[in-house]
Amino acid sequence: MKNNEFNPKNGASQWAEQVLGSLDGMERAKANPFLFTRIIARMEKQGGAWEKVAGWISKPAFAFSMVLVFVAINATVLFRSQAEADEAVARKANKDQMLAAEFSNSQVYTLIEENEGK
Amino acid sequence: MGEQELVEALKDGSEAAFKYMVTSWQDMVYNTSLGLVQNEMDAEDVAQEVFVKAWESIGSFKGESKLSTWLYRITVTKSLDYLRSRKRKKRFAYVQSLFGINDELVIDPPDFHHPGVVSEKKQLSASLFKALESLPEQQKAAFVLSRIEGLNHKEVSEVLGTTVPAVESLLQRAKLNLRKKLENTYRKEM
Repeated sequence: MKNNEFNPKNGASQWAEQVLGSLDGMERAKANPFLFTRIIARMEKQGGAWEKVAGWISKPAFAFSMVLVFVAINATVLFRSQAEADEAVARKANKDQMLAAEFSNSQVYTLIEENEGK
Repeated sequence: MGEQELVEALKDGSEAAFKYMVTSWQDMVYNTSLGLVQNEMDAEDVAQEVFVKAWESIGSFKGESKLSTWLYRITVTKSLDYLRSRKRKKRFAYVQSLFGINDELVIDPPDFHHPGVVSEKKQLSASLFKALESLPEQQKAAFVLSRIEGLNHKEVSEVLGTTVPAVESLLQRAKLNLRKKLENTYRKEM
């Protein structure tokens, strides 16, 4: 660090003290005299509804939220279709059992016996 | 134009009132922002944003504080947001450079020289601004408002929405941290 005001004999704390006092007597920085014109130009540029929408969409928070919504929709669809498939399998198994029970051998034999008895 | 009158005119959408507000407080807003973001172009960008925000949300200004305090508050918020976004971009560029996606070097900005500092103290103040970057946000804001804008503790407390003792504590810790940081710099670089 090159420093004209720095005296190498001073210690670290003395130098720190000098640095801390370096803002004494400072003046306020002046803004660009055309600031108002630039603000108006900026407001006119931002004024359009589409610019506002585009500005909003381009925010990282919006993109991140959209990814989360997309993942959530996918997960919901996946779980729901899985549940529906399980239900369909269970329903089919139940139907098969009922059918088997309805046309079981014992019932067929009873029917035959009844017919022969007549 | 009285402040009450100005606020009413702003709420009515008067462009002349808006121009009056900008020209009256532009140096205050710019200087505060410059102390925080330490870059003249960025500070002007923030100053523009501050006045656009003030124009858009003047309807919510209830007159509980002075208009200048309200503008200071917007300036501090916008400047700190800007610093956070700059830090995020820098971190992202660094990660990209690690994966070879972005070959551009992540370069530290050059020393900042505030235009209002006395010329013989410019180099010393550059070291102070460098150290200021490492302070926590609230300490940084309190230090800039007090030392660069010259506000008293009560005014700083009104801008930061805190108490006078809290501001005194913030400033004391800020000076302590700055001194530590500067002493370390001295030991490393001198």
